[in-house]
Amino acid sequence: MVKTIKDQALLELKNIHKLYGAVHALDGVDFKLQSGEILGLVGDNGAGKSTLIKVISGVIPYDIGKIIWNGHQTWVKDPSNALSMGIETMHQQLSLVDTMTVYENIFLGRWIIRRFIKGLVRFIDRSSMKQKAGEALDRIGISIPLEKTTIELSGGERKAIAFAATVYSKPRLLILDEPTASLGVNECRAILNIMKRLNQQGLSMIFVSHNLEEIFSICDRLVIMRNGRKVAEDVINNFNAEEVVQLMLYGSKNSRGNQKIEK
Amino acid sequence: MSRSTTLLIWINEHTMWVILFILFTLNAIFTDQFFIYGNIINILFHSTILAMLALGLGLTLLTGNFDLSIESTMAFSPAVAALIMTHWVPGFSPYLAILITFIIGIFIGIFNGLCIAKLSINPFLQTLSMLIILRGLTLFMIPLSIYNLPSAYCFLGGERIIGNIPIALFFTFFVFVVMHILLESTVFGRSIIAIGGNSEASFKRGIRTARITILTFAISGLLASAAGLLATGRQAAVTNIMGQGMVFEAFAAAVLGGVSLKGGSGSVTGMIAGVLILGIINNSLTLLGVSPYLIYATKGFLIFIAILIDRNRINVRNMLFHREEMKYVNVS
Repeated sequence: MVKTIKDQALLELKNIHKLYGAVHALDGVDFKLQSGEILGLVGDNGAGKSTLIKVISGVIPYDIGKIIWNGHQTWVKDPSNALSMGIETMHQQLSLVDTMTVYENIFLGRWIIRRFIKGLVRFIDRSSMKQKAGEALDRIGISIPLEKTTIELSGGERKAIAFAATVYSKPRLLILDEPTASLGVNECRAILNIMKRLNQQGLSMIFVSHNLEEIFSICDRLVIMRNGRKVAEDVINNFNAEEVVQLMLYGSKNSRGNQKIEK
Repeated sequence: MSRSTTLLIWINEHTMWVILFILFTLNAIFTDQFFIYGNIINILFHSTILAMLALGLGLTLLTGNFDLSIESTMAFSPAVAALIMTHWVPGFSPYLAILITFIIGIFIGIFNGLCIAKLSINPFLQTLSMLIILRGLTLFMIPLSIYNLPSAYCFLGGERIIGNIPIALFFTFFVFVVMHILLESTVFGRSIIAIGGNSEASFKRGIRTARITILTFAISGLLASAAGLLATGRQAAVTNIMGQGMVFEAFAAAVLGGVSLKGGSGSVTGMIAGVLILGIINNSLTLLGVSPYLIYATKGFLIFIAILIDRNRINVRNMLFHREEMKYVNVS
């Protein structure tokens, strides 16, 4: 199936630096995300992927650099700013409140409200939320009792809730940080299929994963990070798995014979 | 879901109401002088002050923090108002003084909230220091007590109306209803639960965690000063030791009422149940002639029981759900 990837960059990062004391977590990172594409983001542990995700989603501020969103330079100052821009993130640590029910978690932070007394009084609308939550879960093909608190759910179900929460508002950009981690085979496939389907409907994505097979199966382009820097950015077909590993570990495509990993 | 399981789940969620009911019934049957109108009103009246404190403390507990300073705010706010009315600005309007009492409480709360949310000061340390500072200031400002307070100031805490029912009861009930609606049905209230349940997740989903924390402490301060106003009205005086030791009782009431120490779990109705349990125990043991010191120890024992119940609540719930699911597995 043909999908359109527009030429215009939806998101552009230029020279992003983030320092934690003396540690250069992000050391001049720049890349482009085209509208309509799935961009893979890979790197070994400590490469800076999660830090970069947090910067884009407004969880932490960056020190130097520019973020250009839809052609305009912006400053993502906090998560609600990112959300209002249309950037939804599924973090590795799921954003779920385990003392709340499924439907309240899907609408965490943006509970559906009803206004009374000419809009002055705002109460949450539980029946509306339950209905919409049910629809959101149907769309991703999952059935979970809405009144259960999320602490009672399995890992896969929890991920499904977190996922439903991020896609509900029809974002411009969906960032997924290891969405398939600790999931079974069927659940992994289900998530990837939903991602493909949403992407075909025009949703741009950044997909972080340690699983190169998954990366190669759905990504259009790939960014590889190492030690806080971007070491490669190209169309996925210009890489093979071995090269990606070399770049992740050593920063260059050719393996260095004298730097063998001790097993 | 079978009826017995539904009932058991309800009992697990609302253990405090079951305990309250059992306590009330046992006392009504066995304790002399308990089940008479005057005594019941008395229990409720004495519970109003603790109810204010427990609601405020409970709210901060729900966000995953706590507020130890409430018992000192309870004394400090009316102390300042009383000094204004009797010494600093004689003839000062008692109604304005009531307003000032509340405003002082709110400001103390905002100060606590700012230090905790913006400066990341540990809530225990922050509110502990305020507990001590405010009490010290109160002891300094008021050598023993201030009486001769305008009756308008003491109205809310001391007056009774139809059926000899204290106004404080109506006031407390009103506050309770407002807080209940706030917590269950407003964005602010649900945000409180969310922050207590998982503050990082709440932040990542765009909830303004700092602002809500500050507001929560402001409400706690406000309720503490309201408790002070009620206490002042009841004894028609401000004493410098007002409220001392009550933070532990408020804590006991909140935990007995199902507020989880981890945050994110609890209800206003539960807090009130906890307050009433303590009130009934106080009253019935007194009627039975038990030493006040033993009553004090009993309350401490109750906190212990409450923590055990709190710890096991989730486990019991899961066990009940699981048992229900197992029934269907075995049928096939």
